[in-house]
Amino acid sequence: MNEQHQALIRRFYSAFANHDAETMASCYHENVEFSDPGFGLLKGTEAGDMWQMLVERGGKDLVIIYSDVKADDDTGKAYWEAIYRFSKTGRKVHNKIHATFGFKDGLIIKHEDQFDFWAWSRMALGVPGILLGWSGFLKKKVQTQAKGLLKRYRNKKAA
Amino acid sequence: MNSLEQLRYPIGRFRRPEQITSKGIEYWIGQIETLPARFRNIAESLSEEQLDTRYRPEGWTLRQVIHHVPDSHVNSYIRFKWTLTEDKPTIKAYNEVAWAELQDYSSVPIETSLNFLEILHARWVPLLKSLSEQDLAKTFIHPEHGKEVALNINIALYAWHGEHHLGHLAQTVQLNKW
Repeated sequence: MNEQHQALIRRFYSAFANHDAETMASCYHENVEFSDPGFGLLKGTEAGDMWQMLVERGGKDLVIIYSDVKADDDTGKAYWEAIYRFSKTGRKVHNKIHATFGFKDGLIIKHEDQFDFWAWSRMALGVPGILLGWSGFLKKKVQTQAKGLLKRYRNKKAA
Repeated sequence: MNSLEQLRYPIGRFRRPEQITSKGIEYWIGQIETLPARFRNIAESLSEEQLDTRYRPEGWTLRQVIHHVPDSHVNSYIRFKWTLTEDKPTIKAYNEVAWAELQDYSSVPIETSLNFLEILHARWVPLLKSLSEQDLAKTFIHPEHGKEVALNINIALYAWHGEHHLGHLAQTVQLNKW
């Protein structure tokens, strides 16, 4: 058990629960690699910006609940749930996510979120998700749209 | 997740939240508030034969599940009242397995328990919504493990409990293609 790494994970999710993306980003190493089924792979500041975008889009209705935080010197894990309205369809999503972490210099260098993409697509997209949730096609389409959204967000932020 | 675990815990086991936020409390109370209607929606679609189907091998029948939920929640409701009006009370546990074998679980129409759940939550939810941060931090002692349990965690637990048993009904309907 590494208490500092556990505290770092708790700081990350506590900030998330309080809609504080800046503190979340401060938990990441500058060379962090993040991946999940929605965005695919994001590197460096893309990851922090992604959380900022999600926090902003989630608005005041975004609920984050986390538990089961564990960490040793090299790796860590947590379980978290997000409840929000998916902006594209207006549908309510309750996503359940298993997160794993890697650490460097007291910060998160690797962060992987895993969730049931089929269940997510059924909640977020409704019927099209039920029909297509299994397919790599939909996953690719969602990742392309999510990355496009992040790119536009980052361009707007930089402007 | 293996299939028996999935049958037993359709929404997963309860995970103790590491941080309780006002948003989380609001969400859980919302789940508790809407449970009776969602429970009725599924329960009323079941035939007498379907009600006698077990949600897992050696598990309760759906009829027992439907009678269990208000019995469990009325115990919880009373624990909230005790905790709000007494100093760190030791609550009374109850034997839910033995309760489910009592005659009323097989003889009373499910409609009675669906009404009971609605009426109970109509009293419980306004109480939950009225709790201050200080109230939510109040604790009771559970005699089974001797530990203190805070009301805020208990709200999370009972939100999960309702969804857990609703999951038994929904999962059984889905697996049997009813």
